[in-house]
Amino acid sequence: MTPGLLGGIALVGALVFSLLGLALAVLAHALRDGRYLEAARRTTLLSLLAAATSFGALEWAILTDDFSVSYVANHSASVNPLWVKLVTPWAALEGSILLWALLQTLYTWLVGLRVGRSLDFWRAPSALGTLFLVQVFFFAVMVFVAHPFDKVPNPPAEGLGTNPLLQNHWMMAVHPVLMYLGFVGLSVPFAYAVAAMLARRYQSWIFETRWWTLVAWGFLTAAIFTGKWWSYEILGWGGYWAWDPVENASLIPWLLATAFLHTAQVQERKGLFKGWNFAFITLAFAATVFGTFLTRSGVIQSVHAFASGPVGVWFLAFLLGVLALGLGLLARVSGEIREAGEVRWKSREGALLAGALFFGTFAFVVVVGTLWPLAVELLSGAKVSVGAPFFNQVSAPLGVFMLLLMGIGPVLPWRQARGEALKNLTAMLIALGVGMLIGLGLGLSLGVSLAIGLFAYNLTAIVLMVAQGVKERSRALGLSPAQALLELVARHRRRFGSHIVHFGVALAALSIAFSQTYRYTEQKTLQVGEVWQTRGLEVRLLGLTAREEANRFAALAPIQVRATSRDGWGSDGRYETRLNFYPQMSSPLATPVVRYTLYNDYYFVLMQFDQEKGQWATLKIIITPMVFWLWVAGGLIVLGTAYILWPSGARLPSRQAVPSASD
Amino acid sequence: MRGVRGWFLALALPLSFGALAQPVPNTPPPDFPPQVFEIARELRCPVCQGESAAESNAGIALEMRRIIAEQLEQGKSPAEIKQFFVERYGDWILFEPPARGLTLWVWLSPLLGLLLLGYGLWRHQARAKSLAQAQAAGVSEEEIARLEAELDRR
Repeated sequence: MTPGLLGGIALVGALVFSLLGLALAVLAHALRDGRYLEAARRTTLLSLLAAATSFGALEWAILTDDFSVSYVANHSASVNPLWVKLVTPWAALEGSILLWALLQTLYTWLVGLRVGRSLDFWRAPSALGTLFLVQVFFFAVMVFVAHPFDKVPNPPAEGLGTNPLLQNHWMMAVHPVLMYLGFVGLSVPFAYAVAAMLARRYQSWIFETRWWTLVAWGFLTAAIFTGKWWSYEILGWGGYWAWDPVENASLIPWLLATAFLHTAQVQERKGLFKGWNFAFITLAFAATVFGTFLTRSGVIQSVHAFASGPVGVWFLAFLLGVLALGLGLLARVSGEIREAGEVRWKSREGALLAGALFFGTFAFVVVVGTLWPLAVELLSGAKVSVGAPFFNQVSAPLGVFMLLLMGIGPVLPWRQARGEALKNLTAMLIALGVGMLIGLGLGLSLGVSLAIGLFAYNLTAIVLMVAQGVKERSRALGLSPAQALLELVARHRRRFGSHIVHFGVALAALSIAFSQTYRYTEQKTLQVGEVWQTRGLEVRLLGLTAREEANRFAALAPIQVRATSRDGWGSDGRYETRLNFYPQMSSPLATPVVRYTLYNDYYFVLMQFDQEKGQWATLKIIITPMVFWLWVAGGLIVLGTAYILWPSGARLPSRQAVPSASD
Repeated sequence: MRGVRGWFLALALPLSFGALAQPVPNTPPPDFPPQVFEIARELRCPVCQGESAAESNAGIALEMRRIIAEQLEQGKSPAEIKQFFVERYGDWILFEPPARGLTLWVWLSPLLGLLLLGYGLWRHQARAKSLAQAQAAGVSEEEIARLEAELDRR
């Protein structure tokens, strides 16, 4: 058996199992028969195994250089290093849909494990049915439109190779997988929401759904930060976020999921905002499909366009289907969803709702900004661009409001603000003012000073909350402050984890303000041996050499850097700047060398060089402050999320249910 | 440095056939001060997939940076330089859409979004309030929660 044949059969198998699972789930729902539910639950494993076999077959074809499979012929080459071959399945359209579908079957299987526990007999069929429906879509797209195992009639001796941009950095093995885990993960909360609306129980779904959403959110956050770091490491322009349409497409579900995570807490505690939560989670999942539509359809120009193909219209139809299902159900039941009361604004729930309002607005702005060039072209035929300068200007004020709310929200008590909260707020506002004054005193710009103030403000809020918690515990339980702190950290994961996440967000905001305001770029041509003095650096070009590597040529220009003043602190060293030439690319790929320090990052890029005599090289230097802390912040946010999610035994409201699936 | 030359010649063939291939000159490009990149960052590279003229290494982006550097030396202001490119390529070349005509709506989108969501929230609040009053004597929220928990256990 060839890998192509095995993969194709497994793919059809996965589609059949998904259809079977869907049919069983519908029967279970309609006939209220537990036997069908149990059968549907077991089908989740079958579809997972079929998808895994298909994915394994693709890996097998790539690893054995089987160029009779068109995907391998078009996107791989026998000279590729092993790790590149292992990640090639998601380097182009068909394979990345297969990975998506595989992860979808994994999530469906995990949800199947919850049947009889948190997912009772009334909701499990519709939740599983929704997920099977999503699976049917992905496998149908692969079987009928974008088949990963299409045969090549006359297999070539060598493949066309993998997109060089994607094999230039090991992040290719990490970032896309995290992104898919996050995107696909949002299908589970959506399925729970659909099930809750079909079962007409609008409150109890929120507990476990919040947990699932946090899982997806954690992956999405990790994906966004690793994506930033990846583009910072290899794209050679010193930035990490370009407001590229596809970056925006990953931000929209993140923003909506963040809004949901906050309003879900209001529903959990107060039984408020139920209808909005259904809407938010539907939109968040729809946004993942929307993002895929943008990436895959090629309707919008983007650096991620390598994965475009003929599936755009399918994804558009699927997007409309998801919206119709979620919002249609919501419209049907919204008349009977009852709120537990109304919101008092000067309370934690008020701040959470205001926060969700801003997250929702932000998502709206990103959608409008991303699609507007398309709209203008349709309306008037004119071409316009909506890019980074616009998004930066618009997101700054939104960000300020969100950071203000992030500090104040957790400090306010539920229901009604009391005197103590006012005292805390005063301390925080003083920190804000002092931080700003320090910034201005150091001669920093107003925006950066404000960012310092907001960081101090949020830090104060967290310290005050922890101090208060420690005080209360040591008094109530008779513990020493250290023991009380330990108790707080260990026993109140959700609370303490959220402090870590919020601290990470404040730190990220500070880093973004600094790095966006004070990035310094300069380019100069140096003769070999020449010294370039700039911004506290002394750069000497040591030489120019070439090297032939397995799948590319590299031009190398080693440089020696010395710091001459405080501005160049930490830059000392010898660096090897390089240009990589890939046979399948028309222009060389500049791969920067980055020197990370706690304050400035020094970024050296070889732009051009003397191809005849090897006597000169053109170097670009980019100096950016505080970027390092963005990666720290991303790590903290993900760790904080993991800390909240880490199983502690008492995490979920335990429902020792009778196995409802049996009769 | 014979090595550099040798493999470069080997590469010359595929390079010249590439879609974006530019004749690669063997003359050093001019030096660019920071202002060049600041201006180029606001301009779109016309042949790229959404990259700015500061980031891209396509021939046309290099040329744009060179023009910016030249015009800066002639004493032109950043606004004048951007205008120079707008005259040649239209507003499309600017990453910041002009705040007039159809693109004014993009600038208004944050306000529109806030108003839209705020209005929805207000409507929601009003409805919740009237419902709460109408059903003050009905089933309480705690009872609903308990009932649902009860149902979940079945």
